Amino acid sequence: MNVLVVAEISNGKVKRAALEALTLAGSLSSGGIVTAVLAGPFNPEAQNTLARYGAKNIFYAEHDQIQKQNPEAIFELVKASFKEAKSELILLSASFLGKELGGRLSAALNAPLANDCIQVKSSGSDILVRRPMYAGKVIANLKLSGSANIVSVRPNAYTAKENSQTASAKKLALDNAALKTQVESLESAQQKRPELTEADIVVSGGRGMRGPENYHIIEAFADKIGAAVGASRAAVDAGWRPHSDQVGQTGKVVSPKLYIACGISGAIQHFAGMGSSKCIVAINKDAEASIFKKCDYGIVGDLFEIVPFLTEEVSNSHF
Amino acid sequence: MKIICCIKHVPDTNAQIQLAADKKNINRDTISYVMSPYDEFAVEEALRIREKNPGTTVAVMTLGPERVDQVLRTGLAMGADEAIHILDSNNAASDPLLTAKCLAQVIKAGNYDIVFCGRQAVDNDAFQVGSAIAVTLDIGGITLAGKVTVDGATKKVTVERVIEGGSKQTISGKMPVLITAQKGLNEPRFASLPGIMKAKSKPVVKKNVSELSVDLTSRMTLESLEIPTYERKKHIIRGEQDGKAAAKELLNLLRTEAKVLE
Repeated sequence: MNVLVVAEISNGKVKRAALEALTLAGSLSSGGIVTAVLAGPFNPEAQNTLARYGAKNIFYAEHDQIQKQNPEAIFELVKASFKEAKSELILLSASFLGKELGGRLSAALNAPLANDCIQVKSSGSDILVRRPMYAGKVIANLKLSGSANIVSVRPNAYTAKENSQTASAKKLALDNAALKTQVESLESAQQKRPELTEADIVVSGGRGMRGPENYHIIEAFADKIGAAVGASRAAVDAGWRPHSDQVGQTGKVVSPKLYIACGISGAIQHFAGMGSSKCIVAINKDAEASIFKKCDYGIVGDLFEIVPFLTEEVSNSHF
Repeated sequence: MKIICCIKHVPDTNAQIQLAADKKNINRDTISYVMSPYDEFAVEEALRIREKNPGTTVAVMTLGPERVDQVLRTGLAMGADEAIHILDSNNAASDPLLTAKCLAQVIKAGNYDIVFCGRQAVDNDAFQVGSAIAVTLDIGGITLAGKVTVDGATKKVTVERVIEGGSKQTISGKMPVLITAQKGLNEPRFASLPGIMKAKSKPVVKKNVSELSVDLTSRMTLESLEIPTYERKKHIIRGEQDGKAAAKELLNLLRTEAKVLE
């Protein structure tokens, strides 16, 4: 089947989640054509990357509102690409943008949508997916049987593999007048650390951090091991960390290879956000904390002592 | 101005979810239900806009079987003026795309200026209904609102939001417009006792999904639900006495046993 992959871009680089989706598209297409559409400004490096991971065609548009990440403009571009590529399946990353595009496309194309899938298979012309619900407390097995189907894929659910193609890029036109929303400004954050939902390693701090002034301890450790920094709902509700750092049912759902919870007791809402991590580590001074019953490795001890030791030991033995 | 908030009755986020015998539903008997947390931000924002713009009315609407009208009572108790229940006794429109189409049809008939939804409902986490309503109605849609500014005179709505990677975006559109609420938009009020009393006499309009002209053919089938289980090693190191040794031991295990650290 012909598969259209929506490739998000960050600082000119194709995001890893898009390469994971491209890899998945390659295995589902079975002879069909894999097309990528750029959810951001075109650049030759992005084109090369997409071709290296299996895109045969690349669609893009030159438009101020795409540059500024207007979801409506990107939606119009994806819709136009879908028609041009005669796609039967649209694969998105399960980012905020990807999930919004999915919702918009489902209505525009009258096509079934499954957001945030952890497994995607084809069965004839149907698509079978597994996706978490209730923030991961339940997994649903769904069958999509539209004439076209839409799936967004959770970052880290698949591993990106190279599959070099010669790709051609094509510019599509966007009708400016059609847009009902305008992005007036975009203030790009300085990204020092990996994106929480895409990171291989996440280090999170909870109530046990005692205050916002102490987060430098886990930040220093996170930076040593290339990790993203998260927080529990308690820390966010106390105003110590921004909501965009919150891991849990009313925050972000993460699924890294390694999740290190510092001073987090392990409420059910927090597990909903990180319970599918490959390896969970807990550091907590309370030996009775419920997180110790659901982790792979734990240290009962004072995080203000343990975490700086971890930072120091990682430096000593490796770098 | 006319504002409508689409809200949903969902299991409390504290709830331990168990499956029903058919493995296609959850067991509803053992858990308590609440308004989806993101919908609370949506209702609160609508009420605040009403406070600043006299003459504004706020409606709350939900879709589902008879029991979900409780969430409308909560919305009314918070201060909404009226409520609409699209009755769907057999869950014929539970596919989020169909839900969106049904909601959109009622919204269209009511000529609302602003439609609010939560960013997602925290039960099936479909993350679909809000943006699908905007496209179905062919109106502007802005998701994940962290701040909403409404100019009643010019009908301009401006939204500030934080997107991936922590970047800040300002998006504007003209009414009618749909906005989905993100955590942090405001501090939702609790329903007061007088509010709860008053809610009892406020109107709840009932419509039936079958009265709407929406094709309820779903192309998405729920085959089964399961409760995921994760085997965890639960290897606990006592680090109270010698934190440094515990740290060393942990790093060694992560490298050699779990192989998740280089």
